[in-house]
Amino acid sequence: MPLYTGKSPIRALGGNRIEWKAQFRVEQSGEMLVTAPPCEVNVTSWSGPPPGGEPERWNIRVDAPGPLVLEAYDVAFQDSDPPVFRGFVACEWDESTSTMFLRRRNWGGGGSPDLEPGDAVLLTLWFRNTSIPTNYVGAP
Amino acid sequence: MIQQTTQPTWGYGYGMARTIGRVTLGEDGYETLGPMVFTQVPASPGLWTVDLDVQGSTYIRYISARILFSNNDDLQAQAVVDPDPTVPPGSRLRVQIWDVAGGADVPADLTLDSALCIEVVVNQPGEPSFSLGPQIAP
Repeated sequence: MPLYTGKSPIRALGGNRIEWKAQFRVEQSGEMLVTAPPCEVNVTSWSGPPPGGEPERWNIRVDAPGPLVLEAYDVAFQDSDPPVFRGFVACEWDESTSTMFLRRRNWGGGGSPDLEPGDAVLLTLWFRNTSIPTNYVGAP
Repeated sequence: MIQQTTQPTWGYGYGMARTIGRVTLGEDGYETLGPMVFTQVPASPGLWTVDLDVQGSTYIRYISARILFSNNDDLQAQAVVDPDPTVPPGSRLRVQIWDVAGGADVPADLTLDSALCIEVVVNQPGEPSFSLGPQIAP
């Protein structure tokens, strides 16, 4: 049941996009090591929201000349050893500034302890490809 | 080397395709990005079926369902391959969105400006090949 007629299998599966992967890891020194394409990371902490204030979070701004259309994302959290964190990473995307906001949440609500050495976040973003034309040729 | 007929680099990525999709709740209703059809299941809060743009039976290697939140950062999503016998195996997913605040997981709909993102990796049938189009000068 091809949803779009006339498209080859690979193209129908969504070949025309840009994949952006990055890892953000806390070193033993407490410093943040970023393995990523060009981006600007503004790290506050993983602690819960201060009383009456804005929840603290990570701001990851992807370096791009204009707004990016985010088509999907995937995220994984790598806990330090032994794993003690029961929760997930919540993500919010601001298209006007190409910024992803990351916030760690406990199951059951509320904040969580600060990020510790060995913890890491692995983030994948997929953007609509508007710059480089790629012609996919599928199965004969 | 497990597959002796493959070259090392090519062999690791051979024969799979990744597809992504996103449905966002805006002020004008739901908007879809990507080659998927998102359908809400009636009378079931937060329950969706997602039809992939595939033909025939499809072998699925990986699925993820993620939430882009706007005002509720306690939403989570789970995805399974839909066992619906009326569609080819592997062509439809079922996704449930939960609000996990408070410890009791409650089925919940997307809130305004939040989105459901799906990633699927499937076996790519046939012989995949591609050619690059005109490139931008460096």
